[in-house]
Amino acid sequence: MWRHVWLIAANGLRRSLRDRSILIQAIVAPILIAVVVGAAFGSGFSLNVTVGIKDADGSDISEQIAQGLTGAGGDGIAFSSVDADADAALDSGAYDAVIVLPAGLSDAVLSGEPAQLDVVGEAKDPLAQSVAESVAAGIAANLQTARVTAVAATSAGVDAGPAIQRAVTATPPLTVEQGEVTGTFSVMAYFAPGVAMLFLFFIIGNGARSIIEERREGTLPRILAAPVSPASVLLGKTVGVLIVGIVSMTLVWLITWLGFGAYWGDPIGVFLVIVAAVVAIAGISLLITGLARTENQADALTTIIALLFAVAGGTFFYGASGVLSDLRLFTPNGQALAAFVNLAAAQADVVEVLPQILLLTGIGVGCAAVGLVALRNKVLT
Amino acid sequence: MAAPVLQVTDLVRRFGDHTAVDRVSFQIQPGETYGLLGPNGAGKTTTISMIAGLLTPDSGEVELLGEPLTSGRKSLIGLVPQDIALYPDLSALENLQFFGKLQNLHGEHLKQRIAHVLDVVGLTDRAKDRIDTYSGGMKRRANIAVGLLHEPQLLILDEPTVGVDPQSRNSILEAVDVLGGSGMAVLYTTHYMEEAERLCDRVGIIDSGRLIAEGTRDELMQRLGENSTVTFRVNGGAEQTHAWRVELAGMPGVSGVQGEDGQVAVVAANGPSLIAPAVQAAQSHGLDVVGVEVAEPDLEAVFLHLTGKALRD
Amino acid sequence: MRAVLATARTEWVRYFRDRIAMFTTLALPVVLVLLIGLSFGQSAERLPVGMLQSDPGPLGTSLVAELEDSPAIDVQQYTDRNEMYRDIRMGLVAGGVEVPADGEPVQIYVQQASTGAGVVVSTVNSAAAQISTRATAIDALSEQIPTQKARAAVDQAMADIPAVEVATRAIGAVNEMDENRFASAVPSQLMLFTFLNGLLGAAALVQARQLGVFQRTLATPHGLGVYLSGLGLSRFLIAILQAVILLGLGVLWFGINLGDPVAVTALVLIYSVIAAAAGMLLGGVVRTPGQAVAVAVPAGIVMGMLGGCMWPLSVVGTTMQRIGHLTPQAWAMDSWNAIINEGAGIGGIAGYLAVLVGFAVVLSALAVWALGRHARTGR
Repeated sequence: MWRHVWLIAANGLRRSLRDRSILIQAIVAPILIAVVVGAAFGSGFSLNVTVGIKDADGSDISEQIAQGLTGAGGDGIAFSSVDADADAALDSGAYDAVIVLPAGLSDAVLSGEPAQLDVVGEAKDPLAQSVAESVAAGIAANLQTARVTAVAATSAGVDAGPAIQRAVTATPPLTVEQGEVTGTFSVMAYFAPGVAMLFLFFIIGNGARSIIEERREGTLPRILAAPVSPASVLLGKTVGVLIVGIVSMTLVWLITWLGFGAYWGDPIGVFLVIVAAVVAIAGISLLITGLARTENQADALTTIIALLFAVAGGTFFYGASGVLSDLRLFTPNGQALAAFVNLAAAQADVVEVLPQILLLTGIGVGCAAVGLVALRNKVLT
Repeated sequence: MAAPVLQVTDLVRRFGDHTAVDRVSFQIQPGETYGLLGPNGAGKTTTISMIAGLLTPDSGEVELLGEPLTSGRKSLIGLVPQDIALYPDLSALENLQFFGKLQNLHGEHLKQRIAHVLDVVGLTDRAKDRIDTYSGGMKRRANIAVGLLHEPQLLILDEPTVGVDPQSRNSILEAVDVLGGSGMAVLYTTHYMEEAERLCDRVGIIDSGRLIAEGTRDELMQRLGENSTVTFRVNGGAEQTHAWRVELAGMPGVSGVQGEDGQVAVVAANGPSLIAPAVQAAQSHGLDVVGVEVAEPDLEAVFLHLTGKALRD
Repeated sequence: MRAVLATARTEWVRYFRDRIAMFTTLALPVVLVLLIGLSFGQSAERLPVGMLQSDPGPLGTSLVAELEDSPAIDVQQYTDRNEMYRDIRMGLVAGGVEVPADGEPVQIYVQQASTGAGVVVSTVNSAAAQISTRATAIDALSEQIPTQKARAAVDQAMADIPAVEVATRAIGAVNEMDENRFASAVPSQLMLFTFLNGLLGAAALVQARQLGVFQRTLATPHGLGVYLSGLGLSRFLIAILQAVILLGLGVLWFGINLGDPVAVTALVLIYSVIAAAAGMLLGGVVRTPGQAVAVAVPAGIVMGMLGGCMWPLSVVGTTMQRIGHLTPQAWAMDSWNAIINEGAGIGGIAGYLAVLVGFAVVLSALAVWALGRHARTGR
């Protein structure tokens, strides 16, 4: 029995190796697509906001504020002073947003009159505008603290000078420290498995469909005319597509990892998720093939389901929010991708992705069981 | 006496309301070549599929060498399906290796057997080429080679010459003749009367799922009795010809009429005496009889006699 | 001409008899447009930042509330540190803020490679300043007078003095493609799928070659040229149909302001020729229908990625932009940007169209050459 299973699996493998389109779809395409994405976003999603400071007030206070800011800034945000008019500065393209300290600001602040800072941004870059607005709100809060202290000191009969000095230099009650998240993530470790799974649906679907195809072409009856049981044939076909799937996806993993430096995470976990994903895809393909009425119908259903799963599973959408982020968990592709991402980006170990491994394997085994029973009836007319 | 290689008893298979095979029984002795002759759709392939264990009979029995067919005993049979049941993307050698291993052949023995069957079908030179580069006749021969590989007791050939050029057909027939002579039992289905006459020791005539006659060529000819086939060549319209045929079929002693425009064959007891009334009838239908031929009886005539219709339409 | 139309008709019918083609031509692009439109709605305005709260006190709680109101960041709550770290590494959030019990420092986590750290730091500092006015003022006074008295004086002052306000205004107009997500999803998916389907048309062509249709057409008085023209015409019309459906949906359902109809029509027509020609070229090069599909799908996706159909080319570096402009997709997307965002007419996109016409001419010539080789051998 097992010798026959292996013979039939090996025969399928030999024919797969001879088919160049399998090589393109299973290995070349996922790597190529991942490399393109990697090249496009390899340096990370960058953010660079330059905020201009326009001091139209020209007082000691405004100068101090402007100087304080231009010394600040950090990764992704830069402050620099603006001499020209705010609108002109934005038009020049050197600034993404401008904070204006308007004329009379310090007088208004000191006298307790209504005071205001202006932020000018560009409609096409709302993020930069929001960032400047948030910074301005911080400046406004500091000015407010200073003048509240001043007024309160005066009314309480206290020397205002030292009190203000203490207020503006005091350590805020909330201190902020910056830490670093170690470890990196390559977008290739997302797109390579995602695209590989899409194409595996096609390849494994073809493999499953070859059971019906071989019946039509007469090679299946010929196999069954030998002392081979139908169960061996179905099992052999299944083992064959599993090996094709696991080997090709493992190659995609090893090539993107060792060749292009995209780390997919804990190797044991990665391999098990690959196996589980292939089992799920094979099971679904067998189910479709078993339930389809004709070979053409099986082909159409496999293609459509593969594409829908890939799209809904987030294959082409890195980090989508909204509908897709919920939808993807209802697809095997989405579950597998979640596991891959946890291994690569959350540095999870096997145990943490065990739920997905079990879920995918369960889906695969369940679908395969139903599909194989249906196929057995089809094979033995 | 030794058990027959194949004993088929009351085999029945229905597909829905249609009874494809209806109580078919026959046996094949060692070394015998048995022809199953019948038109397309007569139930030949269904019968063969049940013998080879690909299809479960609704009732009836298949025994090989006196014992029922089980999965393990399938190796007694070498099946050569009607279609080219080979992997087109693999070479003949690879196909033979695969199917040979499924028949539990291996190692040196498998190698020898492959070399032998390639020699038998004359494909030794092209063994390493992919099947899809072969001509139609070569594919047929490779198809037969796979059936011979494991030295079966019974070789089943399902219409092996359909769609084959005359030259390849001849070499296939010669090969079958040789195999039959070598002591292997052969079950050969065809709708070509000449092949059955040339190759088979005994012939079973099958029509609409029933085995309606069986025997050696001579035995079957006797079924024809004094009947002979008279072929008329006529000029005239299709309608008139049809009307004439209907009249012919009603004449005394006529057991079968076949053919349409231009040529009509009639099987009748004492055929020559039919000629005069037939020609007269033709003229009354406005047909012009341009030739008359009284033929030697053959299996075609037997089939026509038994079923009233032609083997091929 | 009649023979060309008859061929086109037959090929059109053959095409839509295939349910997969029907799905990928008509349904899948619409599904994708919907998903993209609904899934990437709010990303451009605020920077996503993760937040982890570990038992914050009153101050911390105020900070959390202040950050949630911040115009600059879109706070996403996490309960699991590893999940937050994961999304920081993936760049799904620009950084993470951990708000601990009062008295302990607020932690900001960013990734080394990430460049959004400065914005997060500025925003958190700013929010901290906004919630600490009262506490800082009381603290400043209580050095000289009892805290009780300081508190009363500060509360009085805060009631009397209006807050220092921040007023914002924006210049220029919002890009249509930024404001209406469908305005970018529809043209980009249209360009992606028109080309992909054009390439997939190669499968039918190879099949025709294998079935001996080439040989048969050579025997007709019209010859192979008529067959290929008819085939090309049917592919071209399929591309047009796809454009009509997607753009119609975009205008009528998603309210896209598409811009100059003449420019749009010219762009769609030229691009459809390119897609049809690319498919026929592929059909002349590969050997089996299976190979055609195996090449078409990855090629369509990769060219779509390079050409800016999957993401705007403005977000990638200059090298990738240059490479991208080796594809017709990039020039087509440049044209769409000009038409939809800048209101360009046919004159405004003339330069892009000239390049696209070049693609159309070169691809058609290559297709004729590749198929001509088969015509001479009849296969």
